[in-house]
Amino acid sequence: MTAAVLSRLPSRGLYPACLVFAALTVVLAIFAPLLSPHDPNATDLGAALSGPMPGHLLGTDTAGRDVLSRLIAGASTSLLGPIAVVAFSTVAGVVVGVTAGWLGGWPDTLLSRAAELLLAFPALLVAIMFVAMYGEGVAAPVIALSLAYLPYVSRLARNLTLSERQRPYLAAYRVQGFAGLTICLRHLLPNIATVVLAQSSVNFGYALLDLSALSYLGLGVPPLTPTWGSMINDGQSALLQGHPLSAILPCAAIVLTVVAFNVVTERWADRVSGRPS
Amino acid sequence: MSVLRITGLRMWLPETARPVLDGVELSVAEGESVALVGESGSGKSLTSRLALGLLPSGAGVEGRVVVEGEDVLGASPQRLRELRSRTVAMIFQDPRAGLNPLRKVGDFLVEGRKGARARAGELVEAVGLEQRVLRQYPHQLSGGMLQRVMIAGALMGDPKLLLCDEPTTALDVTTQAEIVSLLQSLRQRYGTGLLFVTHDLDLAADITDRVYVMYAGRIAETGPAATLFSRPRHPYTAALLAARPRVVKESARLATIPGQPPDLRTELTGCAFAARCPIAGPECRTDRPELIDQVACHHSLTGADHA
Amino acid sequence: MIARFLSRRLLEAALTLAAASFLVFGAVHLAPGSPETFLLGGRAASPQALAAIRAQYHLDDPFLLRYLKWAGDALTGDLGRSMQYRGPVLDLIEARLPSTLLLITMAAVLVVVLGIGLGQLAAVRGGTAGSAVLVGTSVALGTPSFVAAIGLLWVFSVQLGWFPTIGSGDGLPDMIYHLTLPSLALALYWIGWLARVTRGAMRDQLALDHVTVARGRGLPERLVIRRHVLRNALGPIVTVSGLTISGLVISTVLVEAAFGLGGLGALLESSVQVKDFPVVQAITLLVVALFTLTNLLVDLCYPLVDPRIRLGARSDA
Repeated sequence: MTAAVLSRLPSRGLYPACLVFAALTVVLAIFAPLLSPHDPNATDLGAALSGPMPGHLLGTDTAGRDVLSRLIAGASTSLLGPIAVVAFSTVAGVVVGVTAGWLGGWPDTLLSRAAELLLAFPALLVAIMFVAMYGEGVAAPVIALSLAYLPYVSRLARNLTLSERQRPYLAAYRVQGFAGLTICLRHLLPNIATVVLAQSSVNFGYALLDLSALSYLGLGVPPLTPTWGSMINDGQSALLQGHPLSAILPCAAIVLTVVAFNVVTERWADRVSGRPS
Repeated sequence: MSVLRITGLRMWLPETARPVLDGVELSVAEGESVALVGESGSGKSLTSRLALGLLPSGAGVEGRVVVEGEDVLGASPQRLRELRSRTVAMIFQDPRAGLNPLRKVGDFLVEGRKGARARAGELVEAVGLEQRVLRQYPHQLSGGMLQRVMIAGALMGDPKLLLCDEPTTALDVTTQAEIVSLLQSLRQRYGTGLLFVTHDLDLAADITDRVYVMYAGRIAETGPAATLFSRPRHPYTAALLAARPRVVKESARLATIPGQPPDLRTELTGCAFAARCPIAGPECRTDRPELIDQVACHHSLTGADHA
Repeated sequence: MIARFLSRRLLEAALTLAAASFLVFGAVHLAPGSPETFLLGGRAASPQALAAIRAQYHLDDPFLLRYLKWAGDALTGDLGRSMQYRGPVLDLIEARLPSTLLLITMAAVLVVVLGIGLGQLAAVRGGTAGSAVLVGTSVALGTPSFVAAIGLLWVFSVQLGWFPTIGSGDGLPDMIYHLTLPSLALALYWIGWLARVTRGAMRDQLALDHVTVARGRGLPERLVIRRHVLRNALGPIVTVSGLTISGLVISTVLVEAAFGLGGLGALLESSVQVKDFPVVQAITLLVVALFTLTNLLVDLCYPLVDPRIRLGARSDA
């Protein structure tokens, strides 16, 4: 029976489960201050590293802070950053890609080569460099990751623009003397928007991984902001001493959230671009 | 004795309302040349592939496909491999897709056969190619040359039966004629039985002894090539013959068969051709005609009806 | 034909490296504040010390000249001096390279063996095994290396006590033992990645006619999979394997932090914390160079994988 269930799981059960989980994290992130039972930063050294108990459903960490409250507060920071990265990289990538594809010629060569050059830099490396240059704060890593993911979006937007340019309706507008910018904004963009956005949304999971990696290293997030990455860092020593909960729970939060969003966004991207999932 | 005998063959594909193959009966005698004719989607390719035990994924089969006295459908994987490498071989429609682009022609020919280099050399010459193609890759050869390679590959195991699935469709007209005459001369030389799957009636008439006409997974009519084409008895055969393009003809308009073949999502009651048939009666829509006296039709034509 | 292909790829790689090094060097100077503030890492300094630093780093020269000097030095192996350790950057890197290199090599072996193996399993077998691999790769792709590190530490070090929790050991056997869990943690995500690509590429091949032909000619299934499916799927597999390398290198930052290993990644992390720019620049350049180099190697492998590139896709018939 388990074999049968397991073999059907990827096609039948996985997607709805992931959709529900992703929706749940979004709700948690939005209503974090209302849902959180304690102040996520309130310390109680007397109750440090306690297991699950009434009042602290998921126990406390080394500083006696409530793990559940920190998980909920961490959801907002963990989701907000990737959303910003997806938004920025989509807008910038579309501008670069559509410009390159529409103009062709040397601007295309220049922009495409520049985007290719960016691909030589792993996203996490760019983020680390930016944090080194601009110091603490959420802005630097978000900008860095947007830049690192830009080439993927711009390449897609460029290819879509090129194939859309071939279509007769755009030629008709050009013959009628419409300005290039007008055609791009009014006609081209709406036609490629869905596909670009769907593909771009797949970067959400990658951005969440990279941002939580930075916060695990203690880079880029202001102190006292609870994030899942920094919770793992805080909880690691306790885990090595046999109190795993404060480190394992944020680990589970990252994995489940990324898997859920990956499954949902990839399904969307496949559907929009007409690939069988 | 038959090299291939198919009886009561039915096949289902997942998520379809009716079987793709529905009661196919077919046989090929030793050294005989037989054509299986029909439109695309009629199930003719599926039928021929079953003689090799090749099934689409998720397909369910019932009936018997007997090759040299052995049921292919029940054969062990080991036995099936032996049949495929010794008894039955197949050549496909598109030789360029059928050859692995990363392997040399010579490696393709001797694949799975130890010490067959010499035979590969002989066969390459027998199909009209030079020995040097053995060291070449598929992308270095033309489509016609590749189909010759495929034929040489099929003859490596000295098979009793050669299945030809539209072997000339992907080739240009002059190459088509060359391949057909090559197949005929090889058949005479090696005594191989041929099952020729095609939608080309003229080709079928030219090179085969007997013809099966297939429609919607069923055999509509069968008989010797000469009589079947001069005096068709099934309205579908007659319509096919009328619809075939000819160079010399007084009217430039091509006759077409009205309507579409039934798709797999609808169940069939009665005759599969009833909806498109000019002479269908009420019983044609309710009762399925059996293949009696070589034709499956309630109102089978006589030669006089269709001169 | 092949000579032109090689020389073009070499030139492209050289240009990419030159442009990337310009970006790495220029980035520091685009940052707010004057370069010496960064070089000092925010510490106060006397005007004399400032002038000395400006002289030492040639900060009074024009930007382009400074870049050329820096790039020229880098080419001869002089990567500058660390602010934090007050020594040549090259020495710092050299001291940490063996352990990091071993870690990356072990992880790369795991990625290639398990990634291709599991991908093949999922492509060839449907049913429970295939689904289990699919679910497994999805989870792996949601698991960053530091999370994998925590999980492995908890199970194998704390619970079972099989592996040490910290340090990289002395001597090769001991180092391999110490680096077992770190290399697993490093590899997990990329195993999932490569398994997915392998599965997709092999399934694409499985649907092609030449595989049906091979089966129809009575070839044993084992040979069909190896010679026709896996062999022909190697293109995308090799490409992704190449991309994996730079991902593995940068992720050592996380794994070395999680396992307390003193390698290149840990050096990068500590250098970023104290804004030791020459070190950050050097390591960044190293990672980018490695990426360019592996991409070049992958491209050079293509003619071996595909005779159509080696011989030209032109028909001479």
